[in-house]
Amino acid sequence: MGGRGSHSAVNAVEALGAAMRKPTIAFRTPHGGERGVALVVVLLALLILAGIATAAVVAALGQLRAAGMAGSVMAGRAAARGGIERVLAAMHDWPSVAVGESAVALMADTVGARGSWKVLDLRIAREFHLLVAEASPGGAVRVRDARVVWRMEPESRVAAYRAVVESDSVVVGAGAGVDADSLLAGRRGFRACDGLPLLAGALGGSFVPPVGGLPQPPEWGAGRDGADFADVRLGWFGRSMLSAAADHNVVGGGVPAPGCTGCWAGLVVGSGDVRLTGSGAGVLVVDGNLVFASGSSWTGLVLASGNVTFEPGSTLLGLIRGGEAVTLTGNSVVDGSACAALEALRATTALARPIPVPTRSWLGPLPPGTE
Amino acid sequence: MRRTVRRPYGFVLTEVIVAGTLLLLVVQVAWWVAAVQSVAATRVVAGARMLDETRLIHHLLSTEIGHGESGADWRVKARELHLRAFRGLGFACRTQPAGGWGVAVAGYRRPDSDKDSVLVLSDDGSWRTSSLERRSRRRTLDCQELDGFSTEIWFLDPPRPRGVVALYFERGAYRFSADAFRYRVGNRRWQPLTDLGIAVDSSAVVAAGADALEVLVAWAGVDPIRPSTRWKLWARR
Repeated sequence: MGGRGSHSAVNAVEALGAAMRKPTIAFRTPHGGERGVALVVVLLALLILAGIATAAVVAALGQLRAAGMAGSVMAGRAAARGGIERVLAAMHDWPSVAVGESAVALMADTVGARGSWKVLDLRIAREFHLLVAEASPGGAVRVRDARVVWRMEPESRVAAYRAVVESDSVVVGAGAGVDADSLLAGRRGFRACDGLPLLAGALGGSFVPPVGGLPQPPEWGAGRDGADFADVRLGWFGRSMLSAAADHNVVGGGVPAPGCTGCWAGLVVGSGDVRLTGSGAGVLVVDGNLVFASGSSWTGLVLASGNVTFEPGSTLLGLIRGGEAVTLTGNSVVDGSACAALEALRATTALARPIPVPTRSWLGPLPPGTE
Repeated sequence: MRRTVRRPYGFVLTEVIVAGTLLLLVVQVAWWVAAVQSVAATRVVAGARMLDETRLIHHLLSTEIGHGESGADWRVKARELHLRAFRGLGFACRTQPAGGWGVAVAGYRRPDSDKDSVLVLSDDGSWRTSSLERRSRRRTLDCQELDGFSTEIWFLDPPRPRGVVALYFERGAYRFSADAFRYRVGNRRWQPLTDLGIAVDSSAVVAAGADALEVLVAWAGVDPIRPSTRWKLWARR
């Protein structure tokens, strides 16, 4: 009985405990659908955190992409601009392109590991070219830039003359003479140039006076082009550019003799008072006064900012432009020849390179093409 | 006799307290982490937006003044940048029509005779301005082909028969006002180019020397460190 009574007591306690715990059991175990609530909560929290982190990562990646794109655009701009600068600085043999012809590729190169650039030339007027640079620094970015440049054309330069001697004032002494009858005729050493349409139209058809006044800018004088063009100029070559491009520089003395009699000396630039004592041929530019000594001679084109004096017995075969007075004394002669001036300019290779238009040369905006 | 001992179900008060404390701790830490991360992410996103818009302002201004000359094309007046906003260029076609000027044109947008003027380079080397009276597209015009260029005939006042190349532009102005960076064409309304949020009192466009521009962009916000950026831009020739 005691054992049974003891067993009954235990059962009673268990029954009481069971009765007390019943609700808890119902709360914790029976419904399988409520299992893993913690996991769901954790997953939700992770989802929220991941969402926030993703937003930050997306923003950072977007910035990376935008910065990369901006860097590529800047690299492209630099490559396009540098390409044009390189063409202007380093290219010597320009292709002969007629006005209005299709664009010609001048130069191309690579940039970086995957990029490339090229420069196209479009001749849009006799002396004006449009350089268009296309650069692709890699990826999808393409950039274009354009610059208008001036390239001297000898025929256009000579055709701008309206007289054999152009100057502020001209004094032709007794016995001296200025001849304008054979401007387009050939001479010893060069052929006639009357077959060139521009020259024939400007200097061949009507009477060309032996002497005349100075032209207006941009042929002569600074205009709006700056002080460098005030004293002496040849197209858009100002004093400093002419001096830098000179084949021979002369200060106060005679012109260095060319290597052969009558051959072209190229561009001869003098500063200060220059006295020509020998013979020469080419383009003679003097920023100052110029004296042709007795017995001296020059063939080609002469430009001087100051007074020009021809002493007795001196001769010029070509064209001359003087900023102040031109005086011919004794039996000095200026034999007008557009062909001599033309040949002198053609032979001056230092001037056969394009230069940016001084006032405004970069053009834009130019969006990338579709290719 | 076999006796089965069952594991007791439920929990006692201690378990409730410990579990509750742990739960509170976890929730607090999680909340804190989420809040910190949210603030950081918000800063990153807001910073990205500021960078985007700063980059936009930089790109706009550098492009605009990069194509012009100080004085002739742009100047700063009363913290506003007034400029010729160049929108494209054209060059003379090899064959010219009987009337008007035949050009090949490319640009950010097509020329608009209602608001555009034209700056023309003539073969004497001078740049002169004309108004674009009207224009017509002419696909059959004999013109040098260049990728992206289309042919048009422009009627300019005054005409520029010796024109070589041309730039077309609208007159416009930029400034910081009413919480944004804004642009207007001519005398029309100021249009926002960025979202609101720029501290316009601390932002400015000012001239820096003869041919440079200094730009300061500051952003409004509750952040004690208000981000700002300053840079210089130069015109080119």
